[in-house]
Amino acid sequence: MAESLSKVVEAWLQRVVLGPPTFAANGDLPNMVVYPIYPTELSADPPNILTLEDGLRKGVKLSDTGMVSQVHVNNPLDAPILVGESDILVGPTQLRSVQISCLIPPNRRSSLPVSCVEAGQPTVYQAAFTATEACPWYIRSFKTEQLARHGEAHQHRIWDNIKSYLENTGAVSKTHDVRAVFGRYGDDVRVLSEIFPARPGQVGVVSAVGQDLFLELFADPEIFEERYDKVLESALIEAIAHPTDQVTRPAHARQMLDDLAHASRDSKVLQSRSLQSSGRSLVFSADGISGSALLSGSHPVQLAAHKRCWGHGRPFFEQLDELESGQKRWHSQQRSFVDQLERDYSKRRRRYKAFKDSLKPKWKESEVAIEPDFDDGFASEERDSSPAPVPLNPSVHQFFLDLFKKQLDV
Amino acid sequence: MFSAGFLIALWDPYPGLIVTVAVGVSMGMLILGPYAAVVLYTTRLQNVLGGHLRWPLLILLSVSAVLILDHLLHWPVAQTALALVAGVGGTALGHDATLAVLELGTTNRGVGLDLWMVILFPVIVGLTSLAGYCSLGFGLGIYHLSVALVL
Repeated sequence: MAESLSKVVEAWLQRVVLGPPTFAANGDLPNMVVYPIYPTELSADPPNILTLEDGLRKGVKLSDTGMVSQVHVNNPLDAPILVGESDILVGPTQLRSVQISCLIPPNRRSSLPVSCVEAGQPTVYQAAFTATEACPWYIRSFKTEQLARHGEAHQHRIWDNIKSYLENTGAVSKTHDVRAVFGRYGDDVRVLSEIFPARPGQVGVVSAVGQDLFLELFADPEIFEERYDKVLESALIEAIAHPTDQVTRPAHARQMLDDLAHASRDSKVLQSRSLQSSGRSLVFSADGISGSALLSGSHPVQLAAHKRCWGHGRPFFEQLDELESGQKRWHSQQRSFVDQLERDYSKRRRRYKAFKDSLKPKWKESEVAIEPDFDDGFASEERDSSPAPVPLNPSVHQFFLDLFKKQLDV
Repeated sequence: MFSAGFLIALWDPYPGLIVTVAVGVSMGMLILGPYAAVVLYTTRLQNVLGGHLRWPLLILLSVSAVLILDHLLHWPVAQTALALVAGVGGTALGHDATLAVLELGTTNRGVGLDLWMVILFPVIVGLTSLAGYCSLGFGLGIYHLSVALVL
């Protein structure tokens, strides 16, 4: 199955094209160059899915199960919800990072596989997650590699990775909150993000950060546009927190799409039992590339990948001429293509907005009660884990959690 | 549990009853509850009947354990009945306590597991019922002493 799904990814990558480089010509951010990805052609129909941010505004509920690896999700809408692996779920409980991108089916209660990204914070049973924030790319990449190699993301390794990541970036958090890095560099992220605006019709981006390449690709430009701020923050924070004057050359960025198609051939299928009906996720780690893809049937939805190009970086100012000529060449040769894409996209975008406005929650607030619907995360094709334990009485279970708890110094 | 011990002392001061309750609750929490949790989740029985097999299996496990002991020790009917109630209650508490212990012990960094509390809590629950039982005799003794001193 993984082979046939990876062919879908390969075919998808052949239907996109890398755009011109975007960069700060004055050298404000010499270690980052962003390349937009455009579809070679755009269908007339907009997507029928919502991003998690939109879903939360329209009545989707996320709540803590009390278990570190699971979050309960309740979708009362008639549309599937895209939850990205770049999302950090924020609420008055332990922060969680979504392990793998998935689609929450319409009108369903399910559980999401997540990883804890705040080691020193205990879980709060039934606490609601009300917002999402971006997860730094290095943490995402580590998580994906773990999934590709072992079929699961080992929690203690993620905690260790976050701890050393915070130390390396000089960010401080008593609870080892991964967002501390945004707390330290947040102002820079806001200012510098204006260098890299999203373009109409754009479906993805390759961000060259130092000697790393980060790719995010969506099937639909509407979804990309909704998620672009987080996509950019995820890469931008790495550029700001790990300053250098070197950046990977444009040739490597162009090569990444081909390399990605090759790396995805050796992939592993992960599927959440409760989300199996809505989509399948692939993870892969080969040839210095690690990534994940979400497919709905034979249709791609999202792809995210990280490629290490260590040893292939060159000082930004040495590449400035090449980058500027690349920009000029694109604008002279692809003008009509870009104009057509913008026209097609503006029609789709209006229809997508109308679709979003028409969505109303099917259940009343009182009916969107938290029900213990536990699922044991996802199972790879090779692995079949035992079912998740369910307490007889959540109150008694919580009583014992409080009773047996011992605060440790973190 | 204190009240239960007190009421048992009022109802029938035969020490076998209160010892059965105290030991039944403690053993239910320490042995049968964890055992039930292991049986449920490692044999995938949790998947049967949409997850509603937990209570029936738990009751079956504790009742059968009490009946075996009854067969071996020839308890009176009242003692068997109390052992059944204490066993089922203790097993249910022990099941949820086991899940809490597993959760705290394996996944929640920054929040550790208080092993002493895990061991002592079931014992304390059993001893509380004994304390309730003894308090009746203690109260009566104090009353008789007071009466003898005053009169």
